[in-house]
Amino acid sequence: MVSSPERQQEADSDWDIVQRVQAGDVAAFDELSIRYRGRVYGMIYNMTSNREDAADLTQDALIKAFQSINRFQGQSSFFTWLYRIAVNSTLTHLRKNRRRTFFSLEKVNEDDRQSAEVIEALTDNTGAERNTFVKELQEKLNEAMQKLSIRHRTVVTLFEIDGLGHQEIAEITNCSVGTVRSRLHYAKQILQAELQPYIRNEKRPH
Amino acid sequence: MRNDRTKSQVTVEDLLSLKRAERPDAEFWHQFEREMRVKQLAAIVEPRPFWAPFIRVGSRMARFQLPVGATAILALTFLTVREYRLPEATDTQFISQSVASIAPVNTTEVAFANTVETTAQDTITENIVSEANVMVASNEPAAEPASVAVEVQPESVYSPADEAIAANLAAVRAKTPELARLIARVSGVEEIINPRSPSKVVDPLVRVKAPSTSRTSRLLASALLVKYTGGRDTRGSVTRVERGLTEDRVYDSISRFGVKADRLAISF
Repeated sequence: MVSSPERQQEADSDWDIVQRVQAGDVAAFDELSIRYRGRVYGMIYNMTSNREDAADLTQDALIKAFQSINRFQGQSSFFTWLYRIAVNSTLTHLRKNRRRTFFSLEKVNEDDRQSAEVIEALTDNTGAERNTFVKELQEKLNEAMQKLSIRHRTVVTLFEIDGLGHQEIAEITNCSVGTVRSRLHYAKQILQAELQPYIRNEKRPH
Repeated sequence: MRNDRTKSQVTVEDLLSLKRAERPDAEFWHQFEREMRVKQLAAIVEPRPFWAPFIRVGSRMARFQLPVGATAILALTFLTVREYRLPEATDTQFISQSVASIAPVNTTEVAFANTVETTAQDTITENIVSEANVMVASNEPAAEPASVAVEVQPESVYSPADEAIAANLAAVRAKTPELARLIARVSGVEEIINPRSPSKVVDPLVRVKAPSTSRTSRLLASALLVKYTGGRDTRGSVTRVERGLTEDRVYDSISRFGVKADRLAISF
């Protein structure tokens, strides 16, 4: 399901490339790979909190999509189809390695305006102390995410971090929209409890 | 970020947005591209396993798992119930099969009893059977139709041992009818001939025998060397009879008994 005109345009473009790949233009798949590898990697990374695992799983998902692209009939957008492959691969990996939790975190890019605002709201420190605070916050965030069940973590990642809609998440995770909403609500409650020290509900006195 | 969010207000959603900023650098993507290329080439070159199409078919058939499973369970249940009820439904058929399996025994035993005249034995055996028939028919309740007597054939309940005893009894009858009648009366041969007759109603008080009767039965049991084994192997029973009950031995056993008036004399 494609929600916005931009997504529709993107889906049409994807379908053209897919048809070229299906016709035998194997190199055309690189365009799709470059277009979506960052988003797929980000999604898997936020679910696993491990950059090496995320890289491997992203490659595996892209290769699976490449091998199965002849079976793709365009009933959903290529993005949704690729995400479904990636989510299923990640869920299988997480279930196999349920007990193994090694954090291998990426550096937070503070050039991002949104994240810079949040960090600024939480600390007045600068320099090394600020970096230490950001590192600590990042670890707490990942710990809180890992305390969620795999299903709840998937929904939170797809909705809050990747910015997908409920319907798209329902298609990707193969469940109803109501279930997605319910899982999201429950997951947020848990995250709120875990991240309570970092949550500011009122204006701080200056 | 929401427009109405103040600088000091931080929610769970804001914290989670920090994770969007966790992005790998350019060097990571170069390395990723190299590894990806190698894996892609390996995937092209590597032959797909022979069972890959089966997995594809299985995944397509996954939606039919529930109805197919339910149908299989129903079929299994139906077959189980049907097989369980089969013996009850074909009881008459089983009896007729038993009769068919016993029928050759009669001819074999006739052959074995060379000393006994064939015609006499057949006649006596038929008499016994007909007597049993009469007994079954006479013990039927008046309200019951004759179909019960037709369905439950008296011949069908004979075991091979019973047949052997009947043959022996026939031989004894042929030679000494009085002794045969005595043995039949004392040892309850009628019950042996038709032990499982469903229509035979016996008064419990009749079954109570005097101690002297049981002693006599024990003594007479030595004359009946063939015992009921419960098995239906007719060849085995014939062999046992041939081995254990020769003409001389039968004659010797019979000669040990003497009946005078109301007395029974047995010589050891």
